[in-house]
Amino acid sequence: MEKLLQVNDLKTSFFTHVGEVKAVRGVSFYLDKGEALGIVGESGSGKSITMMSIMKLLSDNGKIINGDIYFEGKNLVKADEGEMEKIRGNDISMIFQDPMTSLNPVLKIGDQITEPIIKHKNMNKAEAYKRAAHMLSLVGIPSPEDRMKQYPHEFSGGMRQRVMIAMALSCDPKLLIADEPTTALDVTIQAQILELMKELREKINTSIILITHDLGVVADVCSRINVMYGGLLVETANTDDLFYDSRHPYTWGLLGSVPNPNTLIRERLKPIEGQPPDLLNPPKGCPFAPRCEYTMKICMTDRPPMFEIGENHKAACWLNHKDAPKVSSPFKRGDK
Amino acid sequence: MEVTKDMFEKVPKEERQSLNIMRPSETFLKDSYRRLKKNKLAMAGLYFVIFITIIAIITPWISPYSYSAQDFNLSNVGPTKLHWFGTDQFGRDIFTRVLYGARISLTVGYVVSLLNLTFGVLYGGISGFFGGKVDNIMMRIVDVLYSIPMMIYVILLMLILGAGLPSILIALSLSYWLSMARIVRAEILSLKEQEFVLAAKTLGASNWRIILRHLIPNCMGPIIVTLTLSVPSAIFTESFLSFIGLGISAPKASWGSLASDAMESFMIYPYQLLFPSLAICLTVLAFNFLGDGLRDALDPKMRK
Amino acid sequence: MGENKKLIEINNLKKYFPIKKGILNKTTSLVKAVDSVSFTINKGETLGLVGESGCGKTTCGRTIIKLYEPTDGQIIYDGVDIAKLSNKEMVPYRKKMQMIFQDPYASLDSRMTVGDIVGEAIDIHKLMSGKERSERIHYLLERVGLNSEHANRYPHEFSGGQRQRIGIARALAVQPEFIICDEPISALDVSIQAQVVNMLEDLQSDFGLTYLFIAHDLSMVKHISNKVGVMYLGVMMEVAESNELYTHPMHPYTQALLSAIPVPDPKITRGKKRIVLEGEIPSPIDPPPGCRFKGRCKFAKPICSEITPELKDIGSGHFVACHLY
Repeated sequence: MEKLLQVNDLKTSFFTHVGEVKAVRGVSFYLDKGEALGIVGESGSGKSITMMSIMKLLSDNGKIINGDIYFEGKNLVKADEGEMEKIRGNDISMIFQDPMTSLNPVLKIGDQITEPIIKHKNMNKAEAYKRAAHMLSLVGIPSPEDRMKQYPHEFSGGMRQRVMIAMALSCDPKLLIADEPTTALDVTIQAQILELMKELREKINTSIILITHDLGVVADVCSRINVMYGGLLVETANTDDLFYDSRHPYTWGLLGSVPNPNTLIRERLKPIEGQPPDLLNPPKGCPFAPRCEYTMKICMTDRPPMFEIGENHKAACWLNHKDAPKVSSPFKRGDK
Repeated sequence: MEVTKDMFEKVPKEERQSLNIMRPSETFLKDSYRRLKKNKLAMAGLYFVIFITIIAIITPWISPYSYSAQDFNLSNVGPTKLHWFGTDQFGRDIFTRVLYGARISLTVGYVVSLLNLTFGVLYGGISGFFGGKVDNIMMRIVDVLYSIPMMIYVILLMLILGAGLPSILIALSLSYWLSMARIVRAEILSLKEQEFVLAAKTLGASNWRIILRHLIPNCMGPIIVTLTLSVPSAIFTESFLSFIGLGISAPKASWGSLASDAMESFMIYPYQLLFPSLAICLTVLAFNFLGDGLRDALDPKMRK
Repeated sequence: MGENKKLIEINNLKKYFPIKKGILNKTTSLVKAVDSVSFTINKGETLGLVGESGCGKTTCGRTIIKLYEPTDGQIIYDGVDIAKLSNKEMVPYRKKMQMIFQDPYASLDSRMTVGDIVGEAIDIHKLMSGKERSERIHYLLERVGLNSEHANRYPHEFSGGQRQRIGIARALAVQPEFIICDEPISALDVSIQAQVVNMLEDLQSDFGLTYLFIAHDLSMVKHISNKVGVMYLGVMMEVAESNELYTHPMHPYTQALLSAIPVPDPKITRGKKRIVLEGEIPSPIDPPPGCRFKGRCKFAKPICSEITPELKDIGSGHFVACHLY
């Protein structure tokens, strides 16, 4: 399959008065056409900053300091603002966590949703309105023509997120980046939105990157998952491998933090102790070493490379070295 | 890199946790001061304000001449080595009079702001916190007071108390706390539904404790800014009132009355007008720069 | 645990917010945020309260702790109805009942040091002073997994999970018996959620605490609660033992809610049939008579629009408010 997106050794830093905050410290991954990739990690793991780097929407003090981002063969790191404007919303679009603040409250929904269509698709206003109505009905908004005359405050949270998705998809983007699209929503609405995303992927074959901290969400939608921690990629695998044959203690910790839904016995949760690292002074070796149960001497001094585990499966943990003691995941979900 | 077997020994918990370093503590004020320091104009304003305040305080001990002693031999002398700013028609040293004027002008500015701080903040705090009927009544009173022009207070107070510093202070105080009360009320209205206020309530905190310990400290940003900007405004108004003859009377002098006196002979002795006006301008500008700088420095949205 | 002694009994609790319009502040309509909710919690146990946002679960919690004056109904705490007590009469109960809040950022006063935040209750009730006070604060901070040296720092220096621990230490300062946890973990990352939940469980067994655990994360609620209540639009739809509720949900709303939980297990997720609820939670302003859920319920019958179903026992402590049963 052809790679839609290829990110190589991306490093992004923020320069603040206390020093350089290394938010992304060398991340490489790819995305195939038509694929849904999940990126999982805690807040501060660098998952959102990686996406903002791809979109080149970093705040003023943020800067990509190393790496390449190839989108359909074009290096976005070298693209100027004019080129990025053509790509954003047209080739790559993004939806955000908070549907309440992502829409402009003083503009009608119809005007907001037609704006990118008119800009990128060279349509006139009437055509754009027609397309917008079509998109709104595609995301399950009833009587779209009437709803387009309304203002954002007349929409509920779930409906706004649908509008955001419709807007993001209105120019047939090749890639949709969804940054925690359901975190602010209720479970029932979350289920609706996730169903919608799966449906849309089948219907219009958009590639999706879904960022979340909820493993339940990625298990449902994504075929491949990247786990990020401390500004680094720590494990990447196909969904089943990640859930049933994970090779990184951080992933084990994430899996152990959620209650097992299939048991009637009250088992104690196995959380990851401690706090994520402060990326102002990231640990020298493995970023997870301070919180890891299996920390070895080498973890304190040397950052682990990505060990090849199997097809599409890599993990950055010294436990996968041939000389390391054999530790298996304390966490088994596949076998009941 | 060489990887040896002994590198795979387990590390005890204490050792690996020592890797966590916490950032140095930074309080709200420290953080704000750091941002204020970056703003050159605001810092210049701050230094000027401190400088002029100290000068005003120590004037009686440093001034070479008396502010009221007349010497007709020396009337209307231009700036010289002995009289830096020259003398007026009665031979009084203008430099000394400008220094003494600073005392009056700054007193007006500071006293009005201080009353503004205590009364306006409390009034706004109570009105915002209790809301409902209390708020409705208290704010309508503010609206009514707002609609009375300040000139009327001044003239009425002049009739009762006579011209002078007290009537100016009372009149300005009466009209300045209103905007402070409104600003504080608006802040409190948005703060009082926050969870930390609810938390204090569930702990059994009294209303007074909530207002004084939680709500007002949390609106310190806008309060300080309003205060800093009300000082120059009060100084300016006092100067204006004195200029049109409603303020300080001779032999005492504020910057406004000095400028007013100089007007008569403005065409012949322009320096007599220049120096007091310059003092007003510089002080008002300094306070405004400082206030603007503080507004940016204290704005929580600017925090990183 | 607790010998099944009732600590809290809520009877027909109602909280209506008037909507006022015009200059005369005339009440034009009522938001029925909590409408006749009843349940009991035994000493040392946890009742989970779940529902979508806007279902009134937070209002319910805040009314029980008297942050809001209840419109009607009883709040019987240890045999005493506290619903009508004045603020002054409530003071002793402020030491028995405490609350942990949802937003780890808004729930701590950013202008106070962590030590003063935790020690506020000690100051208010004048329990201790000087060295004793600071020792108590250090003890509380260590009890929730923080350092005593954190006492001199300010809240913004801490992460969400640590701030939530500070909030818990503040609640523990008065040595309460009953704590209302108002979505204490929903703003936290998954790994941190588990830390906080484990800590709440430890504190419960160490101090014999009773919890009302409000959340929208059903899997966590099931994990921590003995009993679970499901609320919809201000009304309690179903109450049951947590395992019973999760294995045999009776109310169509509960069924839909449970099927919507994303399961962190790809094989189960793929095989799962979801009941996707159409539409959204309607407005609680002057709701029409009958079952509140009828608009989104696929089993709705004519009777559902006429008579409001009562919450009734269908056996072994499983209560459900639905005309199907």
